[in-house]
Amino acid sequence: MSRRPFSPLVVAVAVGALTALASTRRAHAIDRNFAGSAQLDYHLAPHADGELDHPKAFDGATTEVALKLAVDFSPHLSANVKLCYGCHGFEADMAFVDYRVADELAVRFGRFSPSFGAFNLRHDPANHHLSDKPLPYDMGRMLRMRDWNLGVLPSPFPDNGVEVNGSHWFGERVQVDYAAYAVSGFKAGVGALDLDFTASHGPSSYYVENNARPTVGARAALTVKLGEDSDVTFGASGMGGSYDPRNTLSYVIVGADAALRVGRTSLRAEWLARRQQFDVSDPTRLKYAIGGRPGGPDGRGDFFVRHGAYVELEQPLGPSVDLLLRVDGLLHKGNVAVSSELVDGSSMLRATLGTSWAVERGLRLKLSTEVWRFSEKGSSGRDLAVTGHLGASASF
Amino acid sequence: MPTTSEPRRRLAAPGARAALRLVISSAISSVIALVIASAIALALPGCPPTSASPRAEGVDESQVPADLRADYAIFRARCAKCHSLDRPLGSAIEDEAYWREYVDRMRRQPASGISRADGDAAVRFLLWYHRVYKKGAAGDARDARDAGAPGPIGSSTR
Ligand code: HEC
Repeated sequence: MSRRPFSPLVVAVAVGALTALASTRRAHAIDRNFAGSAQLDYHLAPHADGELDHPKAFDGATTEVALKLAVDFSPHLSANVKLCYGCHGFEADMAFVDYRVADELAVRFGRFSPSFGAFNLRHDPANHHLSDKPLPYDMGRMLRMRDWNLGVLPSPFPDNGVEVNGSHWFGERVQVDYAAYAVSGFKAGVGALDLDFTASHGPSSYYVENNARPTVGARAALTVKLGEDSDVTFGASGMGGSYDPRNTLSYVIVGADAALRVGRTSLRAEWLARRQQFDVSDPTRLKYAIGGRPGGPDGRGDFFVRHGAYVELEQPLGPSVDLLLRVDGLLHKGNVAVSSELVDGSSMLRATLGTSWAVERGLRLKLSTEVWRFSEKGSSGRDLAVTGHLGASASF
Repeated sequence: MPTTSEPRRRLAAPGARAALRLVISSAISSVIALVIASAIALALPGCPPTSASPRAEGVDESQVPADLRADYAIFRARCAKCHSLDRPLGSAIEDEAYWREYVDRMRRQPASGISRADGDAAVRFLLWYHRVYKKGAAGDARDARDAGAPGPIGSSTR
């Protein structure tokens, strides 16, 4: 997957916009706030099987830096611009205007990650306490990432579009959230076998639609306060659209999530599944026959379904140390490209044990170890791997 | 339509040996991670945490004035759901109206679990923290507060 470098013009415009907004004078009664975060992570992956020129996993340091400006023009109108620098170079993670009529009705338009799932709210490295994201949302720190083409829905997933959202409280204990949106959607070229996440995020296609049809989606969540310092949340999300320039190939992503918080202890669980239709004009590109009943012994149909899930426990061990336990995994059902090492039914399971240390206000040390179990031995000849993360993250 | 042949699947049966290997390698790597983590924690500068550079999540509760402790408890519970308390505590915002807007912005985040009353409590605590506690030594906080430095802290949202 080749990538054009981020256009200096786009960087200049973004930096210019940030500076202009930041220098807006207080006399205009406009409130603004700068915030940011940075994470440097060393991923020790001795089992990152694959050749050095096209590795199947990062073995080494990765960095993520984000700078965000939030501007409140009035109690109803605000704008957010967030510029990120990561493995893909610079990217506009947020550049949207939010107009709020009431808590129950707000409209945002521009570039933002549409409301999907629970994790994406915490995707910023300053917001989650492990170096890596859960596998369904993994953006590249996973082993065998090229065979899997990342997880189910790599996070963040900023896109251009419009979203209507709101939140309503029933009394002091029950909160309901909802959102519905239309965004340009994920992309890939003609004859694709899967989404092209690089093309979907990168500026190589000038951040414009590749087909005339938007992807639409919605989310609803229910939060109930169980006590002064405890609550439980259940959510459901879905999005769907076409991703090729000819509008012939579709994808649908659905998800369900639940979270329980008691004091400083959090237990979170989430499941996502992506049904991905692919081009079957040349069956020799695929491992399995296409015809017949999808999923049956005689064929696999023109789609695959990718499942991903995680369960995560965050338990403070003291005022400055958190313990994190996470089990996450991916499952692939359906056809795969001949070049891939996956088969119908491939899976991976990872168990993570981590700690997060508050070194100083705004600075955290993140340490974790991961044990991976693959359903196939793959080119490395191993179905088990152990990796580690040593990271530091800062926020302001 | 030409068809390709079924590949021979090499699914490793989750047999007892594989399960045992997984358990052993998880145990070994967990111990290594905890040892490294503890070593680094012990190697960190041994000076006691101060108000300016606390090595802890949140603030030391004994430093919070008695009449703000209930507000602090709500802030600590409600503002740590999606991120560390470092985010609001490390912020440069001091202005009361802006804290109200910011807390409202967080209250409206999906599944925030922050009611309007919770938001009011968080604002009261944040104003004390940013306008009094952060400015001076922790011990001076009450004096400064008595001197009226933070101004009256209202309780209504917009
Ligand atoms: C439902 C989730 C959620 C809760 C609860 C929450 N926040 Fe946030 N907070 C966020 C998100 C999302 C961000 C933005 C991170 C990013 O830029 O990606 C954020 C960021 C911040 C920031 C950094 C500035 C910024 O805009 O990025 C501050 C300050 C902050 N929150 C304060 C608070 C306070 C105070 C509370 C409690 C009243 C609170 N938060 C509760 C989700 C939450």
